Amino acid sequence: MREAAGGGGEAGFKKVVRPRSPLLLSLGSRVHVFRFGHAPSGALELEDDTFKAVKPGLSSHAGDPAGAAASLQPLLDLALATVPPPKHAATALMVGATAGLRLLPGGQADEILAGVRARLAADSPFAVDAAAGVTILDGQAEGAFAWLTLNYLLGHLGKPAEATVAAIDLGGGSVQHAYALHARDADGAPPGYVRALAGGGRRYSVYVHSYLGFGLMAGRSAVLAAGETAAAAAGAAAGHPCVPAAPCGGAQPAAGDDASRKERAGDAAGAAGAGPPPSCAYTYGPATHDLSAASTGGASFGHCSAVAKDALAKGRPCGAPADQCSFDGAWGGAGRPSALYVSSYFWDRAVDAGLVPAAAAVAASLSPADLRAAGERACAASTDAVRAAFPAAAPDLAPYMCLDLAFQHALLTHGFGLPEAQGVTLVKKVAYRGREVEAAWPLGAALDALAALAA
Amino acid sequence: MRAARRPVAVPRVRARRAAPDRARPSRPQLALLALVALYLPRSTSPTSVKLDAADFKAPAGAAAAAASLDGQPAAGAGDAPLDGHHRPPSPDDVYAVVIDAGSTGERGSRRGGGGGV
Repeated sequence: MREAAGGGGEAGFKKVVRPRSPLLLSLGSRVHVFRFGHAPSGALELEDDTFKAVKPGLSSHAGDPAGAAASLQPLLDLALATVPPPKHAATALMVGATAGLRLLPGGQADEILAGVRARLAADSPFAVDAAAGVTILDGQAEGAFAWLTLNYLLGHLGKPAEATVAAIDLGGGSVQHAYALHARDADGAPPGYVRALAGGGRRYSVYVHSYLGFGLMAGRSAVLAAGETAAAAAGAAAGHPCVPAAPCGGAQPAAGDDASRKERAGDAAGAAGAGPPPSCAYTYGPATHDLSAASTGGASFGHCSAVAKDALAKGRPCGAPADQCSFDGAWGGAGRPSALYVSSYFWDRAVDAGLVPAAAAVAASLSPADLRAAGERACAASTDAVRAAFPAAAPDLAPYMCLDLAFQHALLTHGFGLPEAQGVTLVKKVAYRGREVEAAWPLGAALDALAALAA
Repeated sequence: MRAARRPVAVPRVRARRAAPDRARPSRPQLALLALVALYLPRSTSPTSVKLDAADFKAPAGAAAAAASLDGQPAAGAGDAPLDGHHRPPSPDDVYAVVIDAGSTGERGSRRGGGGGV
């Protein structure tokens, strides 16, 4: 398990056990060198993607912009070796810094990016756009490029907006929703929701919104907080309807039992000292929530779902007619295509819940009703029984299966307005010309950069 | 007449194979089955050997890994074909280089962000 930023092993007088905290440490930097050929129709066909990863990432060089820039040299070397020299000057290079760099305080991220720009200007023969060549990608840009990638791999670019697919990508901190709008809907969109993208010889107005704080890890915190607030308002006893009985593996252990408890909970916190019994809690960012089951003795999908829906803040105004608002005060767009692809943690929990075979890699279908059925099973069981009932899930996930499935169900039905029986496509990779290709943002960024060069 | 009988013969053969107590494999057959089991994942399911970036066991120190589309170590430019119809590099090809710097992998615990694309 990786520690959350700012998370320590102690919280007040209590030792905090975190069965699974969000991942906020940089995984490093990667270069993708995409090579495209031309189909007889003139469309770009992805031929290969050579990539290389280095660790640590740029964010590990905070305060050392030159060192940060130098850390990318092995990646540039691969690009130089892969792209034929006569094509260097005509090849677009883009550096997109994502969540790891966004977390740096003050101007450290800007200093690092300035160092990278300077290094590229001095040493790289590639074409780097002065404005967009080296940037911090916000969630909206990531979502837009990921939409472009998905529709490219599915062969939908170049088709009308209604023939493309919509995408909902559930990360840890945010969930992103993207789809192509009809021109008339794009014209009437509130500011900040539409991004112009090009692909397949057609220009698209893509609705994209990143709901910060509603990724799965952040969503857990929001749902736990909403339950705590509701219980406090009702004067009810402590306990949460999304938390199963014995969330950390049984009766409260004595202080000497700490090691075995941590092992069950999958926690890698430091050694415990003598002191009060440890608490079982979930920490996300600055918030810590005690995990305790409702006084009725366990979780309830119905009650948990109600709390999850509360956490989505559906009724918050969005500056447009209420029927156009999705949740958390966001405009939900208009005229979403019927085909919807969901990914990332949607995929993960579907595998954990046995809704998708673990060996599957490309795509599977499910409906919100499937999530509800799995959630009802998880919520009705004790933590140990969840482990037995969902063998594909990591043991430390058991305290959260009810919550996660109820949150995902609420997100799709209450947040994004899907009918209970509507089928959606779960996607991890896309079958493209006989291979399985991950639908991540870098390919979309490459396509967008090539379109800009051709314009 | 012969052509008409062939469709009938196929299910009969399958039925015999499916019945475990009718035909036990001989030792040579078992050895052959073991060989097939050994090589089947690679020969029929190329994706089964794919790796995501998170799967890479990076060398100590440099912590770097290079891979092609299917997660195999890249031996050089142009050796990471997308499929069997892969075109060798041509003067008409276009390239784009994208560096994803500072990912936290927060898009899901099983998502590596690499390997495929």
